[in-house]
Amino acid sequence: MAVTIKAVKNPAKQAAAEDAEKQVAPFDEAFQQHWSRVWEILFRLVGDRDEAEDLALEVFWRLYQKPPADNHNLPGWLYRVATRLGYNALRSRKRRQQYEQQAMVPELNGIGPENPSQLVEQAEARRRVRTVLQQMKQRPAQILVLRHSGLSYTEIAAAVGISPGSIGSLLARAEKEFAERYQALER
Amino acid sequence: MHPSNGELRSYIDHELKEAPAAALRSHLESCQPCQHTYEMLSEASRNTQIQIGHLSPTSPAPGWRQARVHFNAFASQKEKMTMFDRMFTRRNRPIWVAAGLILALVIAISVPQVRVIANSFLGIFRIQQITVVPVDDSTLPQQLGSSSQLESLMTKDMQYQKTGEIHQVSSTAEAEKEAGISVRLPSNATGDPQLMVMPSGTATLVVDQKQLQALLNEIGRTDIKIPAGVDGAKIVLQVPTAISAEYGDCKTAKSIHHDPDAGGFAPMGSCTTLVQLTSPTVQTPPGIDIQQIGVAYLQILGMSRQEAESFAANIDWASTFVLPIPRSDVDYTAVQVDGVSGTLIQQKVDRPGDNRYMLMWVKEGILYALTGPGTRSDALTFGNSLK
Repeated sequence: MAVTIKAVKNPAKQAAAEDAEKQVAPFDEAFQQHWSRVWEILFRLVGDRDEAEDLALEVFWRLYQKPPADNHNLPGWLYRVATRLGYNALRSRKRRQQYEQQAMVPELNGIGPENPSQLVEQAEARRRVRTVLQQMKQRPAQILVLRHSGLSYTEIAAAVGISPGSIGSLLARAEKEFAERYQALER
Repeated sequence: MHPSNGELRSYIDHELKEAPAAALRSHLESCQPCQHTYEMLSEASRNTQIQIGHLSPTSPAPGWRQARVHFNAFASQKEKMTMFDRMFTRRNRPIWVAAGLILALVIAISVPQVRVIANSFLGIFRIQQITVVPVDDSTLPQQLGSSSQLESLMTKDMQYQKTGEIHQVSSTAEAEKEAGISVRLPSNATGDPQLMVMPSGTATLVVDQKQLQALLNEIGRTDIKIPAGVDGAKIVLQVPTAISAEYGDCKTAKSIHHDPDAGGFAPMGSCTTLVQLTSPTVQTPPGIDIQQIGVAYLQILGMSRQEAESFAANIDWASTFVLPIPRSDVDYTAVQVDGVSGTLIQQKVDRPGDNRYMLMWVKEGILYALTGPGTRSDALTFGNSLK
């Protein structure tokens, strides 16, 4: 179902109040519908629950501040903003240190395998995957994360801003690049 | 005709329509090379799924209701941020601390040379113009944003003081009284502005020689040594009271307090904001070689020594605020506005409708910052109409 969110252009108080009533439910609806998925996409990129939440709040803040003109593409818009913010955070200097330190944290909280060597292996795997994503250009990294987060080609296309017909070839190329870079790290 | 990799990949994901999928399936039954390619692509897809699967959270996302409450607080903070807060957000902090750090550490370079700063016992530099330098985030010292030394410096040695909280005033006269400046407003804006007072703030850094040296070492600048003599020197950044005039559909803080179960939320919209204040000042101990500070500052921001010296030679460091701008996010250009030279910064956007700008200039000791939706033409029309 398309969610309609209209930007209020008339500064007059009365018109603003009337429009506010019309927009209340759509924003809440969008928030409820898309919050988890936006958070999960961001978590995959940054690997930290609090950081993912901060970034997800920022995504919805931007929606709140200035909703997209094309309402039918709202999920695509949200995922685009989310992957851009997440990718930038991933590439920042902070991520290079923090994910190495915090990769162990969920397991230390009692979630995950009890076997210490498995713990180390999983942390190392996460580190490598994020290193590779960091090395890639934004669009192929975005497409990979979105596809493997369960989005359809139509949703990915809306998020990335290209036609759904192009996703197959871009995805094939991105996966090839990912595999080559990943193998290079394992050597 | 053999299918492309894109078609095969789409087929693997069940994204082809029925007829082309059936045709492709039939082709694979009789074409060995294509079958081989199909298997390679399938394997790559499976492996990538496994590897990216490592990134999945091990517990569910925070519930949306709790997140909605957090959003209210988040939005409220965003709305209430003073110019002072914005300058010291987590994102900008490394850049500002780099600036403060350089001011402090270059004391070590310049004290032996002792260059007397004219007209003042303390070195006080009031900003008279703004120059932009593009910064590539990835070339900043990698540990600068998260080092334990930096956190300790920020919490123990850098003190922040605000003189009050942001609040609304009902007239230009009230705003002028609080800020101590003549408030100028655009003559061509529609509607009356909402006037907000953003109280002044001070950031003071007291040099801790050992800690600064440890930080320099941590970010790989062991070539710079801080002598013991500068220990305890004080650097002060003062941001005077600012007045913000908001035009258009700007929301007030009270409309943010929302019970997600009760419904009723503020409208979404856009806003043009003009902030004006007496130019901030930086105070440093005497004997500072400003040009050397500038060269070191630019190097910390990512320039090579040569580039930094060349750039620095064209700046009057005693009166210029060098504004670092992340190169990946914005475009910037020098413009003429309000009879002086200013800087226009435009956000990189995917669609023309998302255009946003920031226009900054200094005129007769007052710093102006104008932000809003629109193009260069919108920005300059607004800025040139101030009276």
